[in-house]
Amino acid sequence: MKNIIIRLIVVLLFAFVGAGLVMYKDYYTNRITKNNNIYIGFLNLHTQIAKLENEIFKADYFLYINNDNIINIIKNIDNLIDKIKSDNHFNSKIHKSAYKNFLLFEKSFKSYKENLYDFLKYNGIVKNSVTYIPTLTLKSFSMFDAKKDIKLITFLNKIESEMLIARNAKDYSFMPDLKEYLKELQKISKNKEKDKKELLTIFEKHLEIFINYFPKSIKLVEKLSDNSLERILDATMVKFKNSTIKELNELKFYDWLFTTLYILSILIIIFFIFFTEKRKRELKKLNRSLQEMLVTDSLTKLKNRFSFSQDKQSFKEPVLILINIDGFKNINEFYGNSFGDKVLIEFSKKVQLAAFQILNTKKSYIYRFGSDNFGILFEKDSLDLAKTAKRFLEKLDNIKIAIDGIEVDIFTSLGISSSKEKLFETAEMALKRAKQNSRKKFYLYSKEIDKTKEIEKNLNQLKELKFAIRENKIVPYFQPIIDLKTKKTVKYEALARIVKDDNTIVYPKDFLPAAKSSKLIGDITKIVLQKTIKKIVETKNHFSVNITYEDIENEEDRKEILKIISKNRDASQYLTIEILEDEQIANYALYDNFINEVKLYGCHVAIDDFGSGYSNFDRVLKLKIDTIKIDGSLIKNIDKDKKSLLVVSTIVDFAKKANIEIVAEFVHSKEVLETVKNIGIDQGQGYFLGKPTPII
Amino acid sequence: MKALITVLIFTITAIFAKEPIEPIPKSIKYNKQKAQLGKVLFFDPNLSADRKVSCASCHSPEHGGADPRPVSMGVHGKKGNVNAPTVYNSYFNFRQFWNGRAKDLKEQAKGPLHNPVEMNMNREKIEKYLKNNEYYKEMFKRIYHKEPNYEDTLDAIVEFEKALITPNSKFDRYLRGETKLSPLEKKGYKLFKTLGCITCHNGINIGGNSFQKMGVVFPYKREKNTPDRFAITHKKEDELVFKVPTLRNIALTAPYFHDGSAKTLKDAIKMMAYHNLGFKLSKDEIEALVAFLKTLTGEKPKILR
Repeated sequence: MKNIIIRLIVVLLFAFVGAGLVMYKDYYTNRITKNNNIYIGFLNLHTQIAKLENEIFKADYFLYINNDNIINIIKNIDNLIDKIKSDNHFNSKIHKSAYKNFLLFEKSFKSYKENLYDFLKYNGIVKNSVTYIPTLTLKSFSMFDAKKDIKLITFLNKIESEMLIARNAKDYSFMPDLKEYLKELQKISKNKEKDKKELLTIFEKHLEIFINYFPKSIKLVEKLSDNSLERILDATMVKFKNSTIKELNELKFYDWLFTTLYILSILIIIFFIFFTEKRKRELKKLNRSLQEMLVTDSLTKLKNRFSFSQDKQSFKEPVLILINIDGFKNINEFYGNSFGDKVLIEFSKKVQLAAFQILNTKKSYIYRFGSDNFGILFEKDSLDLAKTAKRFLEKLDNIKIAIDGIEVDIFTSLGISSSKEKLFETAEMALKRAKQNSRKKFYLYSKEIDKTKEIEKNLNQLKELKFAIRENKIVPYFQPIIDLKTKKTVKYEALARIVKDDNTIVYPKDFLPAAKSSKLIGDITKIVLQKTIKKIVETKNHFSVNITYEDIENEEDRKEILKIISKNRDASQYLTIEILEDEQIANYALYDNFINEVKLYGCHVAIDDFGSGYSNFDRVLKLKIDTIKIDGSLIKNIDKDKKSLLVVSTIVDFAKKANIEIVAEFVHSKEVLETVKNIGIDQGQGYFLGKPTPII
Repeated sequence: MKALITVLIFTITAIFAKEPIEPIPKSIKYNKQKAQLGKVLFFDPNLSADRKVSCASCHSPEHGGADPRPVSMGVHGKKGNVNAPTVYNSYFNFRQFWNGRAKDLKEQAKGPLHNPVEMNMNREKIEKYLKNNEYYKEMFKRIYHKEPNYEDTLDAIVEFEKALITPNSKFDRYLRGETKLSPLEKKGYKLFKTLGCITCHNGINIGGNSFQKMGVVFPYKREKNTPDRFAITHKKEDELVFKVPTLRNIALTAPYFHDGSAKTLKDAIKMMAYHNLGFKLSKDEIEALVAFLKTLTGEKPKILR
């Protein structure tokens, strides 16, 4: 903002200086022109004065002239004076002295004019008298006697000649003599008669006029041609010249000032252009580093989450491997954060190296997603993801990193996803899985571990389940368990089903997880138990019911289940309780107690899905069970898979020795049936032997 | 051809330059609209206090632009102290009034308008009259784009007076070589020069371009209220000093002199010869001078025809 104002000011300054220059130029030319005009006026005045003096000379010299010439010149001079005087530039401070002098000139010219008019007046009179005197002298020859009055005639002639000499020589030293002559003539004329007296009187008059006016006329003409007017005008011109020079110097100063300002403003503008460019570059640089900061992890210089979301778009089939250091928190806590940071930097190098070695030139990016989470993004192409993950683990799991001479063991877990949408989230889910499972170092994301879908499904299931319980839609289906020797049905397993209004059937795998997590499992178990007991009462057949660990763990449910069984003592003889031997079982005492109690009511107890995972013979013996149901995964391929056959045979041997009844699940073909029969399994269950049905 | 014309002009100029009298130009530039308005104003007696005296009352076109009465008469029959000089060709005078107290016609025009014994008006009265007159209102609006006002009134009158020139007198035509003077007239002109009249009466107006004293040789009697140079300067030597009057149309402008004391041209010539030249003229000489002076009568100004 500040910069903008400064720049605006500079531009305005520039504009002002520019406008100032234009105005100054106008002002300058104007003043110079005015000065020139005034000067030309002075020169014209000089010319007119010279002309006037020439006319005065003519007026003095010639007998008669045209006075208009003089009048016209005077008019010209008056006009020139008026014009110069009214020039407001001349009448300004700078030319004050010259102007004052010019006013003096004007005043002088006024008196010059008066003198000139007086001169013309006297000159006219003198000229007329000088012209008339010879006429009178001529007349005297005829009027007077040439012999008798020769003295008078000669005297008149003498006066005439001296008058003319005086007039033409402009010499008034003749005046005293002429005055004497006048006196003498006046004496003479007294004694003369009529005509003669008259002539002499007129002669005397004209002589008197000459004596009176000629000196005045001469003096005036001397005064008029003494150059005083020119001198004043010259002095005015000198003063004007000086003030003009002063003015020019002043103008030069402005000239200099404006030029300096102009150059200065150009320099400032250049500076600002330069400055702006520099700032622009700095901003660009800053922008770039900000951009980098935005997409780069400051610690490891790897890319960050932000750049990941951008990079992802450029992949056709992106794969993300998330790598997390196991127990990194401990390293930080134990060695301190700065040590931890160094570990992360070192580890990041190893990740980069691993990625380079494993993925080669394949397009790939490496990220750090905060803390100890690293990621590798690459194109799937034809890569086997599990194999790739394993190779990464080889290079990144169970390795040693040495920092400042201290060696730390680094273990890592991997989560992999190639689910283009929610790539990061799904990889994170897989990673979580891997972290949860201490035996598996990596997980590949699949829909099964997608908790979001699970949750969604759970919610739907829960809704369905609650509805089913409320509306009595939980229905037990019964699957026969056959004695393999007699081929007779010895028992039925009650399997919970939800029969929807549209008669579609929902299987336990679709509602049991929800039931378990929402504690509704107990309700289902109770419904199935009650309905099965009803069936026992009706048919007097053996039935088995699945009781989950959750049912037993929940005190309320457990008590209610035991209550139902204890209330139906007749039926309980025909009832087998199937339980799961599970690694999740935390409290074996509860199991023991439950089994002991139901046995008191005459129930049989069977271990379900034996051999599916964590089965343990020792536990089975301790639980005092009656029947082992071998898991379908072991039976499924028993006719082809020798490993399965070996495991099952071992179980059969063990069971026989412990006097425990054996049931083979998942008998789905004749071959399987034959195999299990041959190895001495007592009973079988499966689609080949009989499907679950609601009615028997 | 061009060279010929140049030579011709030089020759003509040389001929005229010899003569101290110049002919009046055949025409003069002036603003016709303004002059027409000025003419109406010049003849309008409403510009005087008693609505009887106009400029033309004393500057009569019938009498060569001058007053036939010895002294002029103003409002309510009041007598002035001077014989009104002719208004014709007054534009060429170097000063105005007998004693030259006005430097130009505009300054002159104010005099009679304000003089209590002449028109006895003032600026306000004049403007009041003109502003209430439809004709003047329209004319001023048309010419000056303003309401009637004092300054423009003077301007219009001056413009009219500029037009009052009397060209083509016999003498002017003689000067231009268009006609010949009779022997008597020629004799008169020669006397005019040799006797010294020309010393003062020269130039375009044959006078009107210098001051001179009345009664240089034999003194002239001075009345107390004589409007001479003395009335302005109060210098003894300026007593009876007047602007030399024009001799144009002199045959039409009797009586003569500032006081109208010379009733005829002959009287005037005699008086001038006596008082200012100091001699008596013969009958023949007077006759010749009169004949010459009569050749100075020009045409009536066009604007008055």
